[in-house]
Amino acid sequence: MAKDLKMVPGQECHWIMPREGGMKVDGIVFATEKIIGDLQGTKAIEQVRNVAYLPGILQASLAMPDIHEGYGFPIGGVAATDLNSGVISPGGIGYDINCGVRIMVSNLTRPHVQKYLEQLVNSMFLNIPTGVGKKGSIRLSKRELEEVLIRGAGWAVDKGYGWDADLEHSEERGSMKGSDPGHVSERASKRGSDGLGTLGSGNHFIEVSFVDEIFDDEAAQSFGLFKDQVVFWVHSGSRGLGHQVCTDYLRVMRRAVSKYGISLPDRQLDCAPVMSDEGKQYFAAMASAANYAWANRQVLAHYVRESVRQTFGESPESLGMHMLYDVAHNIGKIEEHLVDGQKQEVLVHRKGATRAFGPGHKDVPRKYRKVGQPVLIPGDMGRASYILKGTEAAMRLSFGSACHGAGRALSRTQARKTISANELREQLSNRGVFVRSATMKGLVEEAPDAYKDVGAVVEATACAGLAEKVARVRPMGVIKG
Amino acid sequence: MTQGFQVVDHVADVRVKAWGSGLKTIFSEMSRAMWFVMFGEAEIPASHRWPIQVTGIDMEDLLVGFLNEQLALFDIEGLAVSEVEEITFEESRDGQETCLKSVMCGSHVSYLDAKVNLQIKAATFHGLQLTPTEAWVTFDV
Repeated sequence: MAKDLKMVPGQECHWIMPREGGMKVDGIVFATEKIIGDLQGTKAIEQVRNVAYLPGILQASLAMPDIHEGYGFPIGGVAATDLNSGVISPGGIGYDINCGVRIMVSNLTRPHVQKYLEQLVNSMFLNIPTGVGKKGSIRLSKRELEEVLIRGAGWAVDKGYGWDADLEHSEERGSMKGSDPGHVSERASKRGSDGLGTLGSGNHFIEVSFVDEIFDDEAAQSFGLFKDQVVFWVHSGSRGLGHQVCTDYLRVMRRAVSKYGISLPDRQLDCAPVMSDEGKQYFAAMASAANYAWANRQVLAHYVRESVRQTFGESPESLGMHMLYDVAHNIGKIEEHLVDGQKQEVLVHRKGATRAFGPGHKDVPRKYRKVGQPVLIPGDMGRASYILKGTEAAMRLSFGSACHGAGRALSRTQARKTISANELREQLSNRGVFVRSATMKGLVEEAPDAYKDVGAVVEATACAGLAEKVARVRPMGVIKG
Repeated sequence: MTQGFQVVDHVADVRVKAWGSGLKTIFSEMSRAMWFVMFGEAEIPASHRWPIQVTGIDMEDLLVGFLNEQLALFDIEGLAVSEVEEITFEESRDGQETCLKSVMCGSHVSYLDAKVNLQIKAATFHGLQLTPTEAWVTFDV
């Protein structure tokens, strides 16, 4: 058990950890009193403090309401660093680089899809490789892989996996600048050669959901959402390629901390100055892996559309399967923010946090610019997930960031011990949710009861001013790795 | 027991304690633990042997590198490990790094595909502890 750290209440749902010792800034946790109470004495809180030691960190070490223990950074951690005096840390981005989610809307409604639900989920399960070690049907040559690492989702769209308009509705248009495959190791490239279009295992999923409640009519209209509408979620990341990039560069950073004389309380925070050779090379490799992840979700979305075509015998175009948005959860981005009242380019690390830009921001697609960026928050496979919108306040408070999900309540072992597979199937069936999974064990580990209530996280996020509720969706069909 | 491992409950990840007399035994036990997490009780036939070599700036770096190298080979070649043969440590020529050399025994995962239990993304430095008698490693899953 970690020691209790002093947390002082700030404005509503803001908790401040005053700077002390080697901390360069305060820590700030956005949370309700209940969430902050549960966090006291946990490693996660200690990690908020540790991140505040990073050289060149700006304003505060931030944690979103879904904060839980991570590696170096807490999951739900956000840290912006100065480009000149600050550092870049692979631990602040994570192993699954650009793990993220996208939603496609449709003009299908719940009663209609309910009749074909099993057929639809089975079709998706057949079309999408799921589970440990499953390879995709796309085999990339070295040159093709390089193109994916540079062009991201754009490569996939050009190859017929999606529509041009998909790119408009994706963070970074599905392709981050600054990538350079020359800084991705041969080992990482090999791990990426047959991983495109695979879901993976763990918490990755494809979900068919319906819009259960609208909280904000204007934003829902802008996002193309209506009650009882069926929408499709894709949650996956950069697969083995991203894991290897993180592993490779943690080794590089290990050496960099002694070279640059950086002192840190946790070696999983190892880092290098943003503008050092090591920092630039990691950024280029990380951006390459991020682009791979965007291409992966683009291909997976195409498979979902094809499954819908097979099930309903109608084209995805005629069924209005447009992209709502695609957001990254684990990423490092160079963005312009106000620091001490001045516009400044900074490096924002988001580890288990979603970009949540407010109304009027130039990087929010034109269609949504009046209301703010769609912020997609998956919950669990039994209860609910949320669609939020970014706020002006988030730009000031959290470098335009919000929460990313529910967070686990039970360990995988606890879940297996306390939840029976048959009861889970029955429970999901009673809720009208049809599930296919690579393994029953994997399904049990990802059961709704293994997760915290995402509703409480979303309420805390709204209370802190980081995002506002637009709609709640409930699951109908899920495929899990 | 003089050597062994224990998988410890952890809310989001997998944490493992491995112990034994000396670093070579601990490295070997930690490797065994990692494959146990991934494959459970399923037997991995020892039908292939392949060499492995990693370098590190200290023994902790070497332990994490040794485990991650095995994970990478599993992802690329489908090679699952049933046993770690003799491990040797050598100092690099410039004396700045240590090199680990070993031979793995095991087989291609295609034989075992249906039995894969849990994917480990990586061995991490988070909460890493290494002494001459035991080690703690957290795995990202």
